[in-house]
This record gives sequence, structure tokens and C-alpha cells, in this order.
Amino acid sequence: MSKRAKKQKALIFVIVLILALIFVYPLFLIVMNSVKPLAQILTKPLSFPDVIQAENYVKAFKEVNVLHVMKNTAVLTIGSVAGITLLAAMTAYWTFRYQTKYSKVFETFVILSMLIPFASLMLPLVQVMKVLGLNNSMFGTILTYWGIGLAFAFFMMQSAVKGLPVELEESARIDGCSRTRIFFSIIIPLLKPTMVSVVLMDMFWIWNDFMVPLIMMNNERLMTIQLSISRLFGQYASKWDIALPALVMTMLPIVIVFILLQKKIMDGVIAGAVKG
Amino acid sequence: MNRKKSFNRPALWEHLLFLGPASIIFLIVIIIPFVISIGYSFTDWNGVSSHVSFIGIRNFIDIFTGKSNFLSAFKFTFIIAICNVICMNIAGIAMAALLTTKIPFQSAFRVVFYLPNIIGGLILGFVWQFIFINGVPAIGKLLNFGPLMTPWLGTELTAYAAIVIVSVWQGMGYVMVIMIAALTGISSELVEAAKIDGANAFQIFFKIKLPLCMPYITLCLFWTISQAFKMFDLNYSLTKGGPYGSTVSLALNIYNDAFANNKYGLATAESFVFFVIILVITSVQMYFSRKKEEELM
Repeated sequence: MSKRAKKQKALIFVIVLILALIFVYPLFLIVMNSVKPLAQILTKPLSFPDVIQAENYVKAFKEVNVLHVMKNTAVLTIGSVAGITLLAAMTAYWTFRYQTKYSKVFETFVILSMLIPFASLMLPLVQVMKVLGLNNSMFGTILTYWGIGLAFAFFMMQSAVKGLPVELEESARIDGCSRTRIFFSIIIPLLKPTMVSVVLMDMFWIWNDFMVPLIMMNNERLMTIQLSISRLFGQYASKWDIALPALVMTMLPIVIVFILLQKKIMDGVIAGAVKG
Repeated sequence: MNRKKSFNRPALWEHLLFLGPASIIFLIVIIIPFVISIGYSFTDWNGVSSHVSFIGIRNFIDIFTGKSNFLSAFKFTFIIAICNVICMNIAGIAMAALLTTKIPFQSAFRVVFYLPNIIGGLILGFVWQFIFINGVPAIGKLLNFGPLMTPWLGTELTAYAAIVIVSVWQGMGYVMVIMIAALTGISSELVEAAKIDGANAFQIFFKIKLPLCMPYITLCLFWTISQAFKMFDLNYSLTKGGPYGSTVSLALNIYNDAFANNKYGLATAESFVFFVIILVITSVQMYFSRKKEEELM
């Protein structure tokens, strides 16, 4: 490499580094201020903390009830994602392999549902859930995610299903394997890579989603992370010594998961964008 | 290949097992609510009382004559969408260009710039509330720069700017990741050939690389448009629609009308118009992505 090219590369590196530092600075400010006493947060938000005030975190931990809301969010996310992935794999496989008049109708409806934003469904959905006795319940909310999450997952699965070797299934049929067993013991393992990307993408969506829980289960017992943060800010406007540690604690788990799984997640994003 | 011959037809219970549960869920969550919603859009129901009366298309007239807040929410959303689309794509493409120059720690930088994308809009809105209320004025004082010291979330123009800044900060990483994939997919032979012909780095980027990435750019354009139109969380947490309702997005407006203003009938009518807007955007997108598929394959 020529001297000039090396110089150029060093210059680009420095530019990117500076941009990256500016980019994460807001998050850095949040973390830094989360350990200061309130007075210092308000008067000197840019300076380093003189003392580390760990009680901020203790207070915020109690106020937000971190363990409780994380458990709720985890149950909601796992239940929803597991259902979406399984339903999408089953329906995408079946509508492709065993086409009937109904399967065509089903496919069309799933595709059309992608056009409907949740805001257009949310109002009557609450009423439908009331009639079914599922409003303000974890299961009702999970059911909602199954419904609105199916279309995208179905699309991802569809392109994976198209590449399945039919010969494998044929010989399994000849050996007397039932269709259900073929699906669960042959097809599912083959679809695993796509299922993993669906899981990763929907996991972040549901963990972070605010709108659906706000409408479907806005009560103390079922509080999710998003709901409790929203309530905290409603009650303690500018009580930053509680609000900032609460924000840090709620961001931490997803940031860790993201850093650990970054390669898979970004591959999933690209696959989802190109196929979806 | 004749699939039907090699596979004898499945029994009814097998069809039911595979498509039944999804069909029922779909009916409950999507189809029934959607139909009911259209029904309510012709009524004046307030969401609570047992009294519901049919008022024809008056809700829709209110929407388009500006009697409801829909038009101002549309104006806000539209402006934000335009600013977001331009800024997010330029920033994302520029970042992708910088990160594909074989600099060290490339994947670490990619993680940093994608990071805000995986944190929810609600939490980021609150994070930036602190930055705009406390951080930015402090920086302004430090640099003795007046414009930074104004209450950013307190005036209409600066609140718009704040929302654009945060959305671009959050969404830029998505464009960047897609564009990195697009740029690294370009065959090096083409670039080499252009170099031999004496093209400089800028010419190679704008005349060769970008045109080849066009299908991916369209994809990012539509992603950013539909993200902006569906904005809710960030809007709810950063400005709550203020100052004076000037930053209420379409989705937040529907929510407010239904749950805060008790205009359920009107809100369902607004949600139908919202659906039509998204429908138009997505249909145009599907038209383009069908073309894209031919180009990508």
C-alpha cells in the first residue's frame, strides 16, 4: 500500500472514531449522570461525578420493580416469539406443500394483513378481547402478537420453505412417516436457520414494543419494562436521580444480548430486508 | 415436478392442524377488529356509553375539513417523514461508505452505530428528553453558543428538529447495515476496471457503486418512510405531542382521540384513513420490490 493510501486510511479511521464518540455520547451522559446526586445532575450534567451514589440504583430498582417487570416482559416476549415462529413455520410449509383453495385464500389474507398498521386495529381489538375475556391478560396480549407478527415471519419462512428438498419427504412418506412427524422431525430442523433469524428480530421488536402492552394490559400486575418506564416518567418528571438509573437498567439487558449476538442479528436484518 | 402425484392428499384433520390455529388467531386479531373498526367509523360512539348512533360519513368530513386534529397530525408526520428519509439515508449511506474502506475495528464501529436501533423508541425518547432538557443547554453554556441554550422541546420548530435528530440517530444504523451488505456485494472486478480507466474514488462511488446499489437504496427509502409514518413510541415519550399539540403523529392522534378525548367513532375513522395512507405507501413499495427481486436474484 502506498504512503498516501495509508495516510488516507488513517484519516478515515480518525473521522469514524470521532463520529462514533459523538454518537454514543448521549448514552454515556445518561450512564454518567445516573450515579450523581440530583443537585449535581441539574447544575453540572457534563462533568464527571464527584461521588458515586449507588443509592440511585437501589431506589430506582425498587421504584420500577425491575425484577417483576423484567419477568413480565420476558414471559410476554418468549411466549409471543415462540408462537409466531411455530405458526409461521407450520403455515408457510403447509400452504406451499399442500396447496388447496383455502391455502391460497389464507396466503392472500396474510399478505394483505401486512398492509394494516396496528393503530388501525387497536381500538376494536380491545373490545374483541373483552368479549373473549382476554382483555388485560398476558395471554390476550400474546395472542395479539401472534396475529400481528405472523405476516412478516410467514414471509421469511416462505422463502426458506421453497428451498426444501421434496425427495426427503417423499422417502419418509414411503417409510410410513406421518405428515405431522415429517414436519416436526425433518422440516423443523431444516428451517432452523430461518427460525433463528425470525426469533432474533421479533424478540427485539416485542421486548421494546410499547403500543400493544399500553392498549392490551395496562395494569400493575402485568406491567412491562416499557409501561413501567412510561409511568415512572409520568409520576416523577425531572426526578432524574431515579429516572436515569432506571433507564440504564432497562437498556442494559438488550445491549448485552445485542453485543453477544451481533453477527446473527445483523445477518437477520439483512435477510429480513431483502426477503420481507 | 408433479407434487400431487407423489403425495397423496392430506386428511382434513391435517389441514386443520396446520392452518386451523393460525386462521382462528388471524380472524380474532386482524379480520374481526378491522371490520368492526370500519363499522364504528360511521358512528359517534364515545367508547364508553351504550349509546351509539349512525352518523354517516360525518367523521370523514370532520377529518378532511380540519375539524379533527387529523390534518395537523398528517402535516407533522409528513414533514418528519421527508426530513427523516433524507437525513437517515444520507447519513446511513455515508457511514456505510466510510466503514467499507477496510479501516481497523470495522465491526466494532458497526455495532456502535447500530446500537440505538435495538433499544426501544420509548426508552430512547426518555434518554433524549434528558439530553435536550439538561445536556444540550449545558453544552451551549460551555461553548457559549446561544441557540443550544433554548428549551429544545419547548418550541415548535426545535421540537420538530429534536424528533428528527433522535429518529435519525436511531434509524441510521439500519440503512448503514443494509448498505454495507450492498456495497461489499459489488464485484471488485468492476471497481478495478474503473480504476484502470482512471476513475477517482468519488467517481467510483457515485458513478459505479451507488447505481449498482439502487435496489437496496429503494428498500431503505421505503423502510424509512413507513417507519416515520408509523411513529408512536418516540413521539409519545420525547414530546408527548407538545408544545401545544404541534408534534402529534398520526398514530398518537388516533390514540389520543380514542382514549383521552373519548371520540371513539372519530378515532376509528381516522384509523381507517391511516390504513389507506399506509396501504398506498406499501403498495408502491411492493411494486418496486417486485422489480428489485428481479434485479437482486
